[in-house]
Amino acid sequence: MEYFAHSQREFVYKYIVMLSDIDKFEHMSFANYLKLMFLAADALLSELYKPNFLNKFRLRLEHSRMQFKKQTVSGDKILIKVNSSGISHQSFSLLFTFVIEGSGELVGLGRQTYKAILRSNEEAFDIPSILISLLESVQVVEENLLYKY
Amino acid sequence: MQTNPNSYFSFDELKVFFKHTTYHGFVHPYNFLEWTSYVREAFFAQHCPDFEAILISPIKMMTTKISADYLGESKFGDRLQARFTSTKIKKVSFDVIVRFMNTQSAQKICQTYHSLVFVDSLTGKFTSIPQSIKEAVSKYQEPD
Repeated sequence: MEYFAHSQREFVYKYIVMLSDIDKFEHMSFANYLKLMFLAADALLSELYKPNFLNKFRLRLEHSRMQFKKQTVSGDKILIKVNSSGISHQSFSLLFTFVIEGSGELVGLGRQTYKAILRSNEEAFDIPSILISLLESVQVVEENLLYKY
Repeated sequence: MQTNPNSYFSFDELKVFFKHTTYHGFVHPYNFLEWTSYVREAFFAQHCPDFEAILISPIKMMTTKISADYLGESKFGDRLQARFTSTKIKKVSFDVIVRFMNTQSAQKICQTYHSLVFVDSLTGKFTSIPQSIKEAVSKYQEPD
């Protein structure tokens, strides 16, 4: 919790960098950090991702970005802290803070912005209340954070 | 160095298979980020004969940031064309834009933008873009 104000909550996904993540330059390939961002988002939303939800709604990614601050090697333990921000009727953002477990060294910062889509007509739809509740449990005020995502 | 503002490097070897699709049948957005790395590596491999030699030297190419706008959808069986251009070529860094076009619909479905910087691993300091890379990306430069 030292990376955010004490009143702000977060979801944490842990990943250990594997040999298969490493490219010929002995560091994790940049695309794999992006994969981790999607895995962490899926982990946060996994309780919702059941057929009754997925058959009615989908979350369409509108924009994503990531800044890379430190390279990682096989065996590094990465904590990916996920928060939400900018929750509106039809869209929201997830903020990702990648740090090395223990040392707290910053590895990267990510951001994704999603829009809720109703599958029956493929048009934007109000975010279901069950998702709003989940997002609010990790919601932060971006202006109060240490980093710019 | 000559620059043609309308030129791009075309990577046409992308096709959507089941593993690229989501529960809902659309291409998972992660694929565009992974494909971006393929496109740039194909570009450097084709245009810079000493690219691998550069990267096993103390000079390291690092990605500092990447962003992506997802503009449309693509499904199983679609063929995609990726168009590589460069911009903001400075002394130690440049940016790469990759536009993904659905060749069936002729629509742009995703655009990624990433920044590359060169570092001398012996000193830990930024270093100039290697000449062959600078010449190659300059040929496909867009206005800043």
